[in-house]
Amino acid sequence: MKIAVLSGKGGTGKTFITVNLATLIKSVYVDCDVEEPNGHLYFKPENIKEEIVTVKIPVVDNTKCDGCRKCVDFCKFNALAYIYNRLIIFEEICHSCGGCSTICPKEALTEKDKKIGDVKWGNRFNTKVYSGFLNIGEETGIPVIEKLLKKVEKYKTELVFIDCPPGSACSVMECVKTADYCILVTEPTIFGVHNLNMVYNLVKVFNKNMGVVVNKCIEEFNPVEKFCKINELKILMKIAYDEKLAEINSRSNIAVLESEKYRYIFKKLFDLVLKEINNETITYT
Amino acid sequence: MIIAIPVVEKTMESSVNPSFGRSPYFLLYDVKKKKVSYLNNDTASKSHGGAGIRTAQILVDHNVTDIIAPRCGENALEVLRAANIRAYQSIAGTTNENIEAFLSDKLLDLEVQPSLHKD
Repeated sequence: MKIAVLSGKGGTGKTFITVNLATLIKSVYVDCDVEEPNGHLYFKPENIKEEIVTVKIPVVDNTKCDGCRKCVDFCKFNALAYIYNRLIIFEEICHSCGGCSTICPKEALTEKDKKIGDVKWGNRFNTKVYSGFLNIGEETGIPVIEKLLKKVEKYKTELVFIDCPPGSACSVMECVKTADYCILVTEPTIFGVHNLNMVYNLVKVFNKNMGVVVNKCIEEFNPVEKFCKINELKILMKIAYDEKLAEINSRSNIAVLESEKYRYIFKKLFDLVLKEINNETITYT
Repeated sequence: MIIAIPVVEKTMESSVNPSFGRSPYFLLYDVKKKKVSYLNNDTASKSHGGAGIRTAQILVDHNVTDIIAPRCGENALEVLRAANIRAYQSIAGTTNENIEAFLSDKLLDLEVQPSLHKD
């Protein structure tokens, strides 16, 4: 069972929610926010193993190239230029589609591996912790996310919590596709609703079931409630704005291990999520 | 010698476009023939990525020898350099004023604009 934790907006508390949920029980935590993975800072996993992530990029043999420019015209991302009888390849722009080497009539283009990041995994408490790290300056983290998700495919009986990247772009889609249930984390602000709407629409495209967690709630007008009512979205929980929580987070500690109060809150959320998932299973069967 | 300038509109009074790769038009000025023409840059400016590279390729293919622009990314500059095209920093004012400044040798070399997405 895979549960993806998403938010349209960064800084709403995806990692906070995911880390705390994954700590409650024996589970698998996957940090797919590969541009700035921070889940490992909370877990501080031990016995770490790692593998590198590579993509294919083209290499040109200029002695074979006759300057037909089929590859230059083919590349949607303009990673190739042909200047003064020489093909120039911009490795950072390349999206590794393999099109240029396939289309080349002179077989002047071949492919080589280029390292773009790492996946690392280890254990802490009852949780298996997987994290992806994308090298700075790389165009896309999707190959790192794909590798992470492939690595955790073997966990059939465990609960797998996927800490998604922020936003609603391709990297988030990768995570949503694989999930059985989605938790949408948001803030009680107009900006929060705007981004919640984007990610809500994305999850809808993949026809996944979802629930909302409103983080950092204060006793004031909450535009998320109206949005959820209109769209018939279930609010699983409202977590109150709490300076103590912020402080625990800033020390990279896990709230459910710090106090019974927080353990109770997250246990309640966990039970609600499980109930939602089970309801669906019953509805489907 | 052909000078290329990214422009907002197809006139000599147009201001210089702040973007190089995403500029909708380029003004091409043939210094010898004193002839002005305009280049539609749609293919590059509306592309998914690498607009600067594509734009530079198009300018190379139009036998441009010099460009005047307010800024230019490092990838585009690499293409321009490979083609021995010199890049000059534009000044405030119209396209016409920039050409005048170029012809009287008043423009400075364009510095590399580092990508904002890298460390």
